[in-house]
Amino acid sequence: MINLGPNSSAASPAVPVTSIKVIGVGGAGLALIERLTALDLGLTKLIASGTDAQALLASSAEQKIQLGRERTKGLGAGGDPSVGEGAARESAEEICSACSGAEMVIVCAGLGGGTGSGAAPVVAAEAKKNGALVLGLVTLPFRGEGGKRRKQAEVALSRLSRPCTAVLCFENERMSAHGAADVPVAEAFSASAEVMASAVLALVRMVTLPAVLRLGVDELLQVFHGADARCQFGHGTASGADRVHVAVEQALQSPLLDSGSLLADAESVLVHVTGSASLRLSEVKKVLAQLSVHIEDSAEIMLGVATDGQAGNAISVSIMACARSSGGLLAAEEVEEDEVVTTEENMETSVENDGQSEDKEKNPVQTKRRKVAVEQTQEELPLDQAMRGRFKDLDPTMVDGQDLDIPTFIRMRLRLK
Amino acid sequence: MARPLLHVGLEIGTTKVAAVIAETSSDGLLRIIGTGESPSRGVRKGEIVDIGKITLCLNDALSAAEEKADREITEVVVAVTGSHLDGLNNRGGIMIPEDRDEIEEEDVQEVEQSALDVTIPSGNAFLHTIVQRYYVDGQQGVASPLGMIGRRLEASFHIVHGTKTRIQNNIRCIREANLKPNNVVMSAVASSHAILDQSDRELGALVIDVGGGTTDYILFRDGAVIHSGVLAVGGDHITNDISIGLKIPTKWAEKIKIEHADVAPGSTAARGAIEIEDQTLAGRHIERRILNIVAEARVRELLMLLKRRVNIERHAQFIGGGVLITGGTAELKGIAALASEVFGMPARVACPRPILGPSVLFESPRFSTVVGLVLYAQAAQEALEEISIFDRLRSKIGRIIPGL
Repeated sequence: MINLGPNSSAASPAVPVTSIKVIGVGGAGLALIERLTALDLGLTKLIASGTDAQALLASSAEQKIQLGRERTKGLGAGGDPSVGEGAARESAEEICSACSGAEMVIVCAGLGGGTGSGAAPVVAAEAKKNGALVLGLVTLPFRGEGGKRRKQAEVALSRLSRPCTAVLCFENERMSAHGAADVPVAEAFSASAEVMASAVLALVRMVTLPAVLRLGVDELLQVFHGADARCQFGHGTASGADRVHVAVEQALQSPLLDSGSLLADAESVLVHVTGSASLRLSEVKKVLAQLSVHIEDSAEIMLGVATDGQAGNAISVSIMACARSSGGLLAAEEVEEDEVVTTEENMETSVENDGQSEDKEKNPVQTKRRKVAVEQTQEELPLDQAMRGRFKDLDPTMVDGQDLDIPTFIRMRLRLK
Repeated sequence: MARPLLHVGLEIGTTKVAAVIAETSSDGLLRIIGTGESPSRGVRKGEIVDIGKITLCLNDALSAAEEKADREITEVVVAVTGSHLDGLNNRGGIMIPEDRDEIEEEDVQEVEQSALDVTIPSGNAFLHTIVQRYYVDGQQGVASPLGMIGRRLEASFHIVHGTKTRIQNNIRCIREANLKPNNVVMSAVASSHAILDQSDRELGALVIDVGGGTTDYILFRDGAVIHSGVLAVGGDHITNDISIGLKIPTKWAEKIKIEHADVAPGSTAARGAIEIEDQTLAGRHIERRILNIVAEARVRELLMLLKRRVNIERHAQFIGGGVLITGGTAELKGIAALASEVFGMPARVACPRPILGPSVLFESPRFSTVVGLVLYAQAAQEALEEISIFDRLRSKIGRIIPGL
């Protein structure tokens, strides 16, 4: 979900590398900053802020702001957004000066708790005072975290959207849903930080690297304009002979994109390709060709291409997309079609499908077989496999990034009505 | 000539295995005296995946042909296809030794060798080196340089190469059937021999052989091959698309494709429905319009891909013969009309040029490859006799494909 603030028209085409600051607010924000310090973000400044003094102490960020020294005594906000808000107001001046001189400030927080929900809107407002372009990057709590946190998160989101030019919103629920169903809590949260970190990295690269085909910040915002649904993000990096194919595949494998199938609902898709000077036009074309299989014709695709001197032989592909609100139905319909075919065409695939959905209480031999099958299909893009019909066990006929074994009418999205 | 020479062509296709036995009679005419055909099993997208199964099919087809011809065969010429095959153009050049100035056969061989000095993927082997043009001291358009006076001999070639192990699979099958592989020929090269004569090649033509699992293509311009290749998309893909699009079993999709599908431009506006007379699917109606949309989309895409691959715009004005479509899938309704629209030039379905033999072979585009094989074998034989270096071909193949 992206909410455009009232100042959404403010846009700057290019941002100097030195003038981006990423500020993490609260527990989730800190975790994200921690991950970002391990990545190469060039000259981007990372700032950690929070109410929990101990957590701040452990942070390796180069600049730290303890919020509400007086008010919370370094003990955290206790899950109460009003405490978080008060703490941030107390430290408003410090925040303002920390953000000064930045052209773009990315405010990162996990919404739902005390500090993130309460302080992030204040931090964003302070950052904006200096005239910076403020981008929010937040997560919404897991459904299991309870209605109260959800409610707090929603309130915080609407408040955050006011000072921010745009807010990119990731659902924790979605990020974990595609891993194994039963992952440890720590892993689930760390996975969400991982996705956020690569999103920040991609955003920073998009606006800072010397671009062959520059994506202006205004275009960036346009992707998320008016969209009323979850934000999808995928990122892949690969090198070697087949680097384009592998990188795109990796990006599509990202949990938020659900093997690319969720891209079908996207209204606008932003594709950013980074590579060294050896990046060829044909490779960029290949990326688009490979993605076009997953993207609706009517969707708007915005392409950015940048060169990174340090990329070496690697090419990285980032995909950001915003879904249309009514998209869910459409996707469900297509999946259903495929299932009908598989049951008629071959029993094995349909067994796999069954195993994913229901009745696990059969004889143990069968259950075991299903388990194996499920693991396999998840690695091999389950949807595509079903659509390949009789060619499912053969090497795909890949041409220009398209798997020609998938029926042409499906790839071209012809409606058979 | 002491006794008639036998040429045996064998095509191991995705859909069928076909064998043809031909005899060169004392008057020099080639006559087909036996044919055999068997449904193919163990071949996917033109490549052998199950040697055991395919060897059985191969035996069926060959023994049927032997029976009709009333001859026993020992050697065969086999066609090879698959998307691992690729073509490229390269030029070679050599200086004629100082002690003579007349160009000899060994110079011609040497210039061919020099052209093979190209980088192909490791694990690949050369399959064909087809001369396009000779140049003597830079003079273009020399048909045969033998006996000419010159200091420098150059030649441009179309070179076909492919994955060694996959080519060897074809050879292994033949060995399994206790036969000797005499030559291995790219399917597209064989088909073009069946369809085009020398004047057709001079006129220029694009031959597209659409089989079950692959589409093989070869482009002639000014009598020379300038493009060839294989796309692993064929009639099976159309069937698969129909099966998925109309939600019917493969068996029915195949039948409906053959009997009803029409890919001609405008066919997607067809009206009416087709009824399936099958008990389990009783009462199912297939809308012609939807059937045609699915089939046309696939075939149009295939043709568009080929058009881009051979860079047709660059050669269009030199392709007087237009587009010739052959292979089993050429029997699909409307395919020539669609090709004509896509390529923007005349297109027609082509069957093998008639030679002596059962007329059924020359009335269908299905047998172009296998008929082309015996014609290729005959032409190779004549070339051998002409330059009277009998071991040339054998040594060449031995060099190209280890273990032959």
